[in-house]
Amino acid sequence: MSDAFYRITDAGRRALESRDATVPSDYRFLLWLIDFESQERLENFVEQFPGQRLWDYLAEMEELGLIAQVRAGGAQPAAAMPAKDAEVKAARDALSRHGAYLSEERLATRAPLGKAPADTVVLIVEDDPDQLALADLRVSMAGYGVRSARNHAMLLRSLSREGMPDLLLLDVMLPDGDGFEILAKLRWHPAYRALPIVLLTVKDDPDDIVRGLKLGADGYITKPYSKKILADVVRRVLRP
Amino acid sequence: MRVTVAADLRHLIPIFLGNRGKELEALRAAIAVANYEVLRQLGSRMKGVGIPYGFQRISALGEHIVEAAETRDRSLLESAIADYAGYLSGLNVTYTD
Repeated sequence: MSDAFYRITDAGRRALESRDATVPSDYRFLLWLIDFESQERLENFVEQFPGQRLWDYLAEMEELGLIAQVRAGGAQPAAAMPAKDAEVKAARDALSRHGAYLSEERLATRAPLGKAPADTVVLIVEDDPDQLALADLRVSMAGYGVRSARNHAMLLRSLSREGMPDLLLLDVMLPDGDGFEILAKLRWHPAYRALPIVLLTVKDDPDDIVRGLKLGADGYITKPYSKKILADVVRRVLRP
Repeated sequence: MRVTVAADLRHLIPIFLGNRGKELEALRAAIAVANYEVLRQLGSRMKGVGIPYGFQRISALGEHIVEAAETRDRSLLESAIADYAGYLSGLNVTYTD
């Protein structure tokens, strides 16, 4: 264990963004994690580097100037956007009546995706296998490509190794992470700031709605949801 | 209890019901040791998963379990778990388009 925090250096970013095949894939993944997680302790997310291997890798990368240690309490996610009272009321009404709410304000800022559904990838993050199987079925039957992740760690691996999806359906309560905190990190990171994200949640408390909207969720779907909700929301967010 | 489920879910139902059986065992284990947080979590899962699969009763029972766990009402929890066991054992699933 270590209390060290790391940040990616300019050389590290060049290595991460380069197509240079001599950059080891483990280095690339660690650089991506450090860039994404920033102040988080890496040991929470790197089961695949057991024991000393992680710290050996980090020491090597630091020696190569790809990363640098920083003090805890440095950069923090940017301040959340204020949620307007009217929007919160609209969200509560929509959730109680339809089980879904989309932020028209956020959707208005999005250009249509311009892809056919078959070329569109929806990443579903859901820890319950029955919920995941159902969501996968509903989104697939609507014609979209589906990727899935069953926890926070798998989400990070999916983002780093398979790239950016076109839409993220994110369960709020994950065994190894809090969906709100994941949302905040994604919105803080420039690469994911515009990624459409819809929260899937049993949490329909007004405080939770406000929190999600403030953090930049495009919408909410409350569980249990009816048969057509998921596909309808995906279609509305992506606007082919 | 006869339950009609959408035909497109047919291949998922055996796994779904198998998971409900495991859930029932987990509920019984949690009430035995008065673990109300686990009971609340299990109830929350039932609430979320029942309706989308066509099993409204599972969602309703899940909601009762969540409420009873939050107020630590043991007798209500025992009653809800017994209802759940009876419901699962008497299920007759049919499929419709």
